[in-house]
Amino acid sequence: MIPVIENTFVKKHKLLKESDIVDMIGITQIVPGLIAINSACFVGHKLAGWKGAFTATLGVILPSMIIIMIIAVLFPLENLSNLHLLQAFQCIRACVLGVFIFLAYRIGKKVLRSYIDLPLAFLLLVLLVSKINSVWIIVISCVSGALYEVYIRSKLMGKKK
Amino acid sequence: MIALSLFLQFLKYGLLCFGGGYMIIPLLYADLVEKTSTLTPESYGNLLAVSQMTPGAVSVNTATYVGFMQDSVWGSIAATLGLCTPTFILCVIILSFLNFYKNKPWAIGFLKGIKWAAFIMILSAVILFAKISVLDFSNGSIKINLLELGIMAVAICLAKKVPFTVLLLLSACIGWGVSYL
Repeated sequence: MIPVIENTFVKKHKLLKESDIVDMIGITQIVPGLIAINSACFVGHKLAGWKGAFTATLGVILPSMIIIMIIAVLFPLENLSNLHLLQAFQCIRACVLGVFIFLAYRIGKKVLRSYIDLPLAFLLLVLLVSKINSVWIIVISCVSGALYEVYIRSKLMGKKK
Repeated sequence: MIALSLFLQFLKYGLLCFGGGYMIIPLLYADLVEKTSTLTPESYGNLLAVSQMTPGAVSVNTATYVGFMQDSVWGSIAATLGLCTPTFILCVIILSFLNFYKNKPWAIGFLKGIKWAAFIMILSAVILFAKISVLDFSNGSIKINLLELGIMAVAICLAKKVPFTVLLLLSACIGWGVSYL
């Protein structure tokens, strides 16, 4: 998504600068919500204020909404009875599992960098297995990340003095 | 009224999905399969697979589908708008104060925390999918389905080079073919 935005808005139409793209990547990470919608909001807002953000967001979600509605009408997934389709979906689920394991490995490689990360990961895993609501896992990990970083920075500042 | 409750439900997910749609998978599972049992684990898996295969963000696709199941067109519009509204409002607000949070320690730490949560959420999605595909718990004992284990292994190896959609379509063809044996 981001390379496509860069190509169209920076190189082709020259409406945005390279530095805007850097800002956009930062924002899409910190605002809750999907990367696609965040980027659309950013580009729209930059070019035409909140109205631009609104129309850009609609533009991003409309195609997938229409496609999914068509699929939902054609294949009611909640009660499949066709034996061949059932077997096909059984294999698709196995494939999704494989893709997710690959994604977990890729994200894990980025995340597991320092020693402090390991105990935190372990703690969060325990929470996950103990069937706590996933909402709390997200909140806990974000708050603890923020607190830890503030603590480390204040310690470094103390040493400098 | 179904549409309104769908809107509020997806508003919550929209607030919680930081940096990517995978966060929504365990959240939706807890609400749709475990709490209200509107879907069986298998059909939830199928729904996610279809959302992966079709173009567009996975969570937008899932929201549209879940909304459509419960209240047809209005349901899907309500669910998708609910998912996007928090993002849209916060984005417009934050863009107006762009320099306020740049390079602040809490913001950097928060970002780290988000990456953590993303890692844990994808792990939980892995556990969820293992239960509804490769591992079979039906008769009280655990059985491993060899065909599916094979497909999973191949998918892991190819995921780096082959687009996900192609992998999913290929495995659908394998499943379709096997069902005639």
